[in-house]
Amino acid sequence: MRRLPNNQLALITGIVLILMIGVITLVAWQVINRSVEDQFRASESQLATSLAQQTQASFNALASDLIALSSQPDILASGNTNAAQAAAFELLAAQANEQPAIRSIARFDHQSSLRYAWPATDFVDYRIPRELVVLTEGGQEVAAEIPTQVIEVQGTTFLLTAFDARSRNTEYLVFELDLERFFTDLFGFVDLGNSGQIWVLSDTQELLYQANDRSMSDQLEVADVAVNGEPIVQTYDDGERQAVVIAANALNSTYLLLLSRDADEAQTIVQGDLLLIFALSSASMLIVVVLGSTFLRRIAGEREQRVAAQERRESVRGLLEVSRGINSSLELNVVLERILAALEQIVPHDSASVLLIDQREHELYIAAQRGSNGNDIPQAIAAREVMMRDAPVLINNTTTDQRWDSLAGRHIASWIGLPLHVRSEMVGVLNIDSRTANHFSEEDIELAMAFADQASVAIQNASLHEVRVKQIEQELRIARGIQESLLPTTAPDIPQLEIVSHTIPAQEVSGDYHQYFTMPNNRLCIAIGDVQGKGIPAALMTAVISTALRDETGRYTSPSEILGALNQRLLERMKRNNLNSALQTLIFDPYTRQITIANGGMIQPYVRLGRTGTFDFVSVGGYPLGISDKMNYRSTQLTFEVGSLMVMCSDGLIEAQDANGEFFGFERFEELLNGFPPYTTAQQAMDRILEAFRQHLGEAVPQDDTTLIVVRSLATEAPERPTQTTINLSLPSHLGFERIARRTVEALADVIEFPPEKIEDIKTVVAEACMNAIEHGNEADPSHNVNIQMTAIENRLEIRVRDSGQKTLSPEFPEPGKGDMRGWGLFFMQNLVDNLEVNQLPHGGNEVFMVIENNGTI
Amino acid sequence: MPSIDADYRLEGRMGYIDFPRDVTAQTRETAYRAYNTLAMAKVEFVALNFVNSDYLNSAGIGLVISLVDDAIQADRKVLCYGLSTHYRKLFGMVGLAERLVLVENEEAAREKIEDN
Repeated sequence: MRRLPNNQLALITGIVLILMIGVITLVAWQVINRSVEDQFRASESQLATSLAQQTQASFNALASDLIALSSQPDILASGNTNAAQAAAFELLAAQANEQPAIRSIARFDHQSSLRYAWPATDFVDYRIPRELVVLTEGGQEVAAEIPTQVIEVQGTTFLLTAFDARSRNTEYLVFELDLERFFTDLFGFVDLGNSGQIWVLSDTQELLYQANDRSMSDQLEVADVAVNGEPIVQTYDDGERQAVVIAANALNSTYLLLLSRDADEAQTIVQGDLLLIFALSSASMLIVVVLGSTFLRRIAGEREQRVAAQERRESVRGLLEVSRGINSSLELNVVLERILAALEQIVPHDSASVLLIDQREHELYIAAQRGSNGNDIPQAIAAREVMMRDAPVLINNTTTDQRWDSLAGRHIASWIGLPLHVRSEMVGVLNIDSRTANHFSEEDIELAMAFADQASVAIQNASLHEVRVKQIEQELRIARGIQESLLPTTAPDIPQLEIVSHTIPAQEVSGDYHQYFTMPNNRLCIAIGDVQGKGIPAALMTAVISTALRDETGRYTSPSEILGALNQRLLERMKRNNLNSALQTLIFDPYTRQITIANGGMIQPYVRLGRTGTFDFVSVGGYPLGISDKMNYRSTQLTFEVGSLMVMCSDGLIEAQDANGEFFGFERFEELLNGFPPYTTAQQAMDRILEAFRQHLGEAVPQDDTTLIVVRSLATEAPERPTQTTINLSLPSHLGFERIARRTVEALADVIEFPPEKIEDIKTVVAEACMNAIEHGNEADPSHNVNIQMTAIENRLEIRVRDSGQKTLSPEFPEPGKGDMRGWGLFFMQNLVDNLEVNQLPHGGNEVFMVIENNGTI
Repeated sequence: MPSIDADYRLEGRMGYIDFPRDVTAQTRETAYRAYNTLAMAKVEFVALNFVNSDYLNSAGIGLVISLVDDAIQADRKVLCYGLSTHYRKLFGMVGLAERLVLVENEEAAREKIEDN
């Protein structure tokens, strides 16, 4: 905006003042021309109207308070108990204390009976008008039909509201009003002078309030006032007094307000007003004449100071905003772009650039630019001078300044160069260019320096962030390498199986893992797991689990035992790190083609037995590792006959979402599997699944790691099992018959040359397993047999004791000697055999599987 | 059928419980009858005789644990003889070996109480 010179400003101000004086004189002239009586009437009428409005507003406020109070929960409650009444009393007391005009508050039921009142003893004998009670007879909810209203009973005024109580009855809350106090509070502030009077009458002309103690004239005609609502001015007492009468409507009631004053006092007041107006206008003229020029000069000076201060404030505010803007990103390129964009607001220019120093070459390079192609900037001698001096350089005319390279920046006429620092080390130069010579002022340099400091902080933050991001990326690459080295590169070469696996990590490092382990007797263990969580912590946990898995598969022979052992081993560590891991273990026996599976929280594997037929999931489940120390995992067995296919996967496959957020889902997965033709190989199955997965994802990025393992049973003959002897026994469920099993296993163990003390151990555990099956599994029902299979393989004895499952045995091992009588038996079995499993058989029944190795130790 | 009943003998300050060949849950009744008879005779020592026993199942071992607990609570010392190496091991596993005195035979048991 253009600023006016001081002399013009003074002229305009003078004209305005003269006009004002003219207006004041005109008004005064009109007032003088008006009669004293008219003036009085006008002002008193105005006052009366105002008081009537105040009366109306105050009644409305009281009604609002009453309605609000009636909607309080403690009031809505039935109020039948002492506690409920005490809570309600507190509310009533608080309300009454706020409004001195409320003498008491009471609650009535729908039959007009008083429930309670505050203060309890002060409440007048009052009943709800019959016409209202009739409305609510029977207590039905009709509160909405009953307006809040003023009621007069025996000279006392009440304000009443109806409300629907929780009892579903309509009840009443009532203020008993002290109207004299009400109007005293309302009109007490009115300056009535020496002879002024206010009276308030009810609509039946009963005197409710009187200010000053002069008696009201009976000459006043007030009967019709309430009808037209306009104030009426009257003269009475033979012209000695003036009176204004007005009706104030309060809810459903009307009050008459009368204001009266002696005629001579009214005249004096008006004349005083006129004199005051003349005195004011004369004084104003005098002040304008005497102080005019001085005052205007001061105003003009102060205005200039204010403008300068405003500009300074705007500069500082601009810098702060710029700082906030450029610091709102940690990406260096973005920060530099924002610096240059923000610079335009601070120091107007034609082009600008940020040159950063290449730390290896120690040369400047253009990191960002705005407004020019900047090709010749790095060659500018002036920029080098900024580097050497580590201080701002201003060249106001590049054609005459020797510091400017004439070959560089020929279009630039004036230039500022400012050093940029990161941790007090100079990292670059901020160039600000103009095509106009002498474009930049000292003030521009100061602002540019302040700006450069802010820009340096932003560059520092972004640089640190960039370094940190690079470090993290490097660490993630290393972690990924370590993790990949732990995953199998190829599937194990088992002649009876074709195994294919695939992992799609969602991030640099994955929480999914899988492993293969060969076990004694040519058995193969396949494990697939998913650590809850992502990134390095999850990757580290997969490494820990992989190592522990290898350890436990060497120690235990069944999948459920392996899961149980891992859970116990890793539980504390996982809980401490707030991690858990789903894990599925599968053991394949090439001699029998039996697959035994245990599952801790993974998606159940899908299997198609034989070359045709449909896929179905294997029903086996349990908690993930790291959740509970009470978990006892169970195994399920199936025969993986030639041509069978099994698919194991992590939840990343099922929960993969396309761009619309739709899941891959079980239905799609099962449909896909059941579309596999007979003789589908594991590799073909994998390819089809991956193709469907990618097709579903489309442009979307996988949100979770996905691991797939497909296993197919090949027709290759199983190798011959090492020499083994198997004895099968079937015993009735009657205690005592376990002795037969004892003697049988004693004979078998003797044949394979177990030492005598080991044989005693075996006799004990076989007897205990049989007793367990007789007493608990078959509940001593002689019609159900206990089947015992004893197999001697080289130096190893495998014993399976199966019942018919009259009762499903708890997977939890009971504490010996307490409650469950199985306690000591299982205690001996656990401590006397090399491996122990308690499994539920797929078609019902319980199985205790024990392995005792003849390794020469007892 | 093998004997399942326990018997007792009284000899001065010591009472003997003679266990049958098979010590199982079915032995509980006669074993406790024997112990109670000895307790009424206010013996100071109870000797558990397993010379004829060749099969103790977990219920039988549980019975022995209960008897030993009761005797110790009544301030009686418990001795035990006639156990095979295997059952000595099992007695050790369940903590019985620490609560009673294992001796070789009845003669050794007598000598033990003479020392007290």
